[in-house]
Amino acid sequence: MAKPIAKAIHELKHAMLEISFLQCALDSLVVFLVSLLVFMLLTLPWWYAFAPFLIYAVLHTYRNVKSQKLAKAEETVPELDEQLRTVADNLDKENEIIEKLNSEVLKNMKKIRTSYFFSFGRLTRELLMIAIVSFLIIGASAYNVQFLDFKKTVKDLAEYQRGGEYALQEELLQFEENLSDDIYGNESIAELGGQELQLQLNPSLSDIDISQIKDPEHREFRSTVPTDITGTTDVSFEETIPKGYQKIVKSYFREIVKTR
Amino acid sequence: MRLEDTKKTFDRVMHEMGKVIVGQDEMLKQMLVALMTNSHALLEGYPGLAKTLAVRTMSDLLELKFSRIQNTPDLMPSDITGTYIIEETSGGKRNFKFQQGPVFANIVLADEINRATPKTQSALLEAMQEKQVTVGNNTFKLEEPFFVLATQNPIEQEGTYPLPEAQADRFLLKIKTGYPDEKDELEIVNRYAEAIKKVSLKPVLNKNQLLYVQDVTRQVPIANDIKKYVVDIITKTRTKKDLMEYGASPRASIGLVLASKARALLEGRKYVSKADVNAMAYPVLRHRIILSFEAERQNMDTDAVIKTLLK
Repeated sequence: MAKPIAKAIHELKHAMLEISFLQCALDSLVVFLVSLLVFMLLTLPWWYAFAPFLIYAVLHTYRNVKSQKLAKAEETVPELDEQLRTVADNLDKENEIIEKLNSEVLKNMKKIRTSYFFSFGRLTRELLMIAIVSFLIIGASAYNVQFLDFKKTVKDLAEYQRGGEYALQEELLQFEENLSDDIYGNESIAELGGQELQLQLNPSLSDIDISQIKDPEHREFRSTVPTDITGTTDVSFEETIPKGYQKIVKSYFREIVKTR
Repeated sequence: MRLEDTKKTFDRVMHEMGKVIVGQDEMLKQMLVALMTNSHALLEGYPGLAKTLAVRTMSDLLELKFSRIQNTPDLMPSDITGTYIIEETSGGKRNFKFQQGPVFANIVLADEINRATPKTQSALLEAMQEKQVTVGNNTFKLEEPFFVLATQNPIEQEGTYPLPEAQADRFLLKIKTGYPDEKDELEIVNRYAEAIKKVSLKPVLNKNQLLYVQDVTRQVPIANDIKKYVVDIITKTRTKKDLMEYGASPRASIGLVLASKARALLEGRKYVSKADVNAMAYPVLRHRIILSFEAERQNMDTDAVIKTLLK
């Protein structure tokens, strides 16, 4: 038969785990709803929101379950500090001192309330957030609100990167190097510590006259083909070997291949 | 003796010792830890800090056989272990009879241990480790409990033989005795500079009670987290090469856990706390680590280095 302290610790761990799962479920739900709203506003398929939801849920639950240690319960009841872990680690041992410690811990464990493991402030904030985001999702769906057509933007961006639309005149982008000995400003102000600085500036001329850049011309192409353009068949590819000789030629080349 | 009485008994020991020793509570507690863990302790401090008096007082409070060895360079191993003497019987026959040395006691005070030669130190340290003495072809088991409380002086190193690290490792604790504060020193002056009053000490613990306490000490449970913490500290002494040239052995891990258990019991707790480990790390590790040149260059002493290992 299991010791009462073993049962109590098992119950405590179970309760802590349940609360942890609930907390994780709520956190993940918030992530799902926010992702859903974002994807809706970006006109992406709503089921894309499952990806961040699943990743977050798995990682968050794993981390939370792993951190569920008795030390957390000890934090809530200072009288149990370090004792709960000691008892849990020594459940298989029996002696006078451990028995006394077990009974003391069991008495103090009654002070632990499940509510200690809930952060009511956080819970309230999360519920409030779930409600707000849900309303926003309903509203966005009802009025078909879209901030950005994500697919179209990506397509436009790809086209822009190819650079087809804005062809600049190359000659306007050329620059000349000015090799004159001119120095800008007064020589006397370039003196440092009584010594004149021998500086030579070679400024580059790279002005671009933006006003000369024109919009691309719109050209129309005629859909009908002009009548003066005619097409003829090229006869150079036609085989002129008489049918009777074709067999001889084929067998000739076959023999050549064989002899190689 | 019952478990509930353990704390009361130690409080009584401390109270009785307080009648003689002033301002050395931590030293007294650590001496008790050594007794509770059935281990030996090395007391180090400047002259006049009541090291010897503390051990003598402790022996008065325990109904145990006490002996004192005043170590000098000419002390021989046989002066400690004992030797064979020729005994003449009534019939005129002569026999060899083993004459037990001072090591055959429950509490042995080895005063100024570093004044004895390495050969004599080894005889004592062998008895400490094996709890037996071999003279000639015969081995004599020492009576339980057996403690050696040795003292040494950190100054006046001329003509001394400092304990090698391997031998110092036999002592569970190296207890440092510091100077008392001003208030305590005034109390010492008041107590001992006036008319000499004979202090009557009542024995508090007998042999069986002490053996029970030693048994209970080992039973004190410890959490796995705390055990890991202990091992972590000891491992760090070997890996922190910037501060320590040589670290502690696994014997230090065992010693630190045991000492922490004893301290927990002294404090009236039935479990080991991290605070116990932190408090006992100093006396357990002090003589087991060798500082690096870098630590010495930074003017760090052993306690300062140990402090860096604790969380």
